[in-house]
Amino acid sequence: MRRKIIGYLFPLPLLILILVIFLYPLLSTVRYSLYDIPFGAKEGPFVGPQNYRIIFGEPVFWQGFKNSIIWALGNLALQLTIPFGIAIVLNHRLKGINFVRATVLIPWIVPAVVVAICARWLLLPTMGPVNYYLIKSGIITHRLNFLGSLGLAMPTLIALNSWKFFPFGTLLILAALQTIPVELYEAARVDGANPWQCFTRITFPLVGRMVWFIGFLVFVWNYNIFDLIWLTTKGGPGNTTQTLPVLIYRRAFKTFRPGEASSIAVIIVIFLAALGLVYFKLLAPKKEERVIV
Amino acid sequence: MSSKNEKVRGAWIGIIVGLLIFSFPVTIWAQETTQLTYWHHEAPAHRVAAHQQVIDIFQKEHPDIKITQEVVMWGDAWPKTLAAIEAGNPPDFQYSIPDLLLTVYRANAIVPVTDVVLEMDEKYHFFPGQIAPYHHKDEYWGIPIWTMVFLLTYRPSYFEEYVGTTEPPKTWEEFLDYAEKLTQAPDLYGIGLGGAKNLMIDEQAYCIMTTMGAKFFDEKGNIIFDSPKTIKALKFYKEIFQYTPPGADAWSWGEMELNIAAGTVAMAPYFPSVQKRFHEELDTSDYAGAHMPYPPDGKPGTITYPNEIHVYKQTVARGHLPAVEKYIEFVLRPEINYILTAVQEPGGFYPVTEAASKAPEFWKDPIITRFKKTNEVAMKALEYATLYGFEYGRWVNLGIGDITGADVLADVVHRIVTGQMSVEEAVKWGAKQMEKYSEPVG
Repeated sequence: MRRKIIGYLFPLPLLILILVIFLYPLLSTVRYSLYDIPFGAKEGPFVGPQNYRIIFGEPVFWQGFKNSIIWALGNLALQLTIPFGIAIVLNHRLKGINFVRATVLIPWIVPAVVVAICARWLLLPTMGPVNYYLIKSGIITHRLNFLGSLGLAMPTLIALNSWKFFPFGTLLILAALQTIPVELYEAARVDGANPWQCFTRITFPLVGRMVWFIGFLVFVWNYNIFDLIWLTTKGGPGNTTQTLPVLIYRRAFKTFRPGEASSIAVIIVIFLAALGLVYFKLLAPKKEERVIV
Repeated sequence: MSSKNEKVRGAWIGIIVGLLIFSFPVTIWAQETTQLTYWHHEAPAHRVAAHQQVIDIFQKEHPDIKITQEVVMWGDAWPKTLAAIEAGNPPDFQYSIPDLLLTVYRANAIVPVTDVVLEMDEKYHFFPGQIAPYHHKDEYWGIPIWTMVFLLTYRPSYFEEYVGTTEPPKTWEEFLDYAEKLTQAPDLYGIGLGGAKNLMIDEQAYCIMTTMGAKFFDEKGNIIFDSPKTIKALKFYKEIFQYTPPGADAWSWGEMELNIAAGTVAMAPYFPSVQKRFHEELDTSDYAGAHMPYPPDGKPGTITYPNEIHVYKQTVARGHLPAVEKYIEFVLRPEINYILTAVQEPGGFYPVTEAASKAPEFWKDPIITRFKKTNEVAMKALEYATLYGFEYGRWVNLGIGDITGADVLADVVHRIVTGQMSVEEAVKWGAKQMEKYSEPVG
């Protein structure tokens, strides 16, 4: 009995942390979403679902929702494919590979604010070096307004964010690749398998589950990103990069409507939780994967 | 043995008595020293240094008052101020701007400073336009310490090369003509104007609006933003915007100053504060400021942004009000005020009183001297400059703070320059947004 009690005590600090950092703010946000609390005030009248009705009736919310999906899916596509390729390269025993593995981490280490400020200067149409060298090399013929153009701002931000994130995906996939026994590849090569067959019949099936898991993490993490977008475009131009987290910030701290901002936050929580349920219940890969050569 | 014990006991008694004797004056001193904390929002290092210079001089004169400055970035000013008020722990006083002052007034957090204002007015004579934003219900709720003003800043050498004169434009027609002639893409563009959703665009757009006499409110505080004057002003903004560099629709303060200093834009409605960079980094006098051009049916106009001190209720409860009043009187002395104007940001911050505007310390600053003509124009512009929502010498609509905080005007401009809406549609939309925050005083 004593051992049982001690056993419960060990995770207790973590549980308290979760309660304080996660559960209490979540419940507070739900509460705020049901009240009309003026910014900076403690109290306000109870309005029930009024904040949700307002939000659902605003085109800017639906545009934000759409932008968030585009943002998350765009990042997902880049942050799974490129890291996969890099991880395969890094999985080889080549000279200097350890140095390369270390330098791959650099984008991950650079703070988002540094990336944002540097990007704003580098991508300036008139004075930024990116436009200068693209024009000089003949790749483009006139200056591109990367962060100020309605059509380019979102792809530019996705590329920036993916550049920052790819080391993380690379390391996770690399770790998974290193669990694959080398003998499988040797046996496959002996049987005449080419590199593509090795990839599709050995590599991908065996790391598939890891990639599938990373996929959901990447989607959720990117969905909630605020800093890079706010520090570069602030959701512009013309709300084309205004995702729901950016809308939450604007609604709470620029227009002083914490109730509406909280309701958007609650909607995001419900959406991501439902998505997670579908993803893990219905889309989970089968546990047994047969390797066929 | 007992002699040794007696010696030890004697020593302990001596130590305790000694501590008591010496701690008594220290305790008294500590109790008599008033500790003040104030917030301001000028984060650049040289501005923080100017504040500290004033504090150091003040503390030498008043050794019983200790002051600590705390910097809160402008972007965080509204939420952090309101959070501090809600927590019951705001600073003793705060440097602020009229729209933020209105927000804290609505939070019922501040006390009037009428007595100090009247006393200082008698001594130093405030410019009427600078004290007007603080008058409400027969009280003054803030006291201006320095002010800011937009001019049409420009590069005289570019004017000479491409327009054939160093004289700045005076009418809208000339303004457009200059902008067109000065646009030599891709290296030079006629004008620096922004199109993003931020305070800079609020101010640039208002600069142009006010030369048409367009306003947010009427005298009763009703929203009159959707008017022919506003539409005409913003149509002009859209027309001249075509001469801005690509990417200007995403600019904020940093990009604007970079492009002015780099010579990518020939002119820009802006604070003439860039003169500091021209003096220190570029060492050139090729920079000037002029009155904003206005149309035949318009009038001289520009934006001014006084920065004031307001005092919190908790300051009175803490017994710190007399010390705060001493500080306010101190910083308005012309020979001290120049530190918060010419030293803190030459060409950016200007005096708010006649006495300070004549102070030799202000005009002897090397940067102010180098660009003397521009600074004289700025002082002249203060005579007619106004601030959105405060044009009537009193508060007419308490929602102006939220309207500014939400960057509604900048949002209207953004929709226009990005082609999302026509000028008429955007103005109509903007008026509707303003109605959400509107709180007419009546």
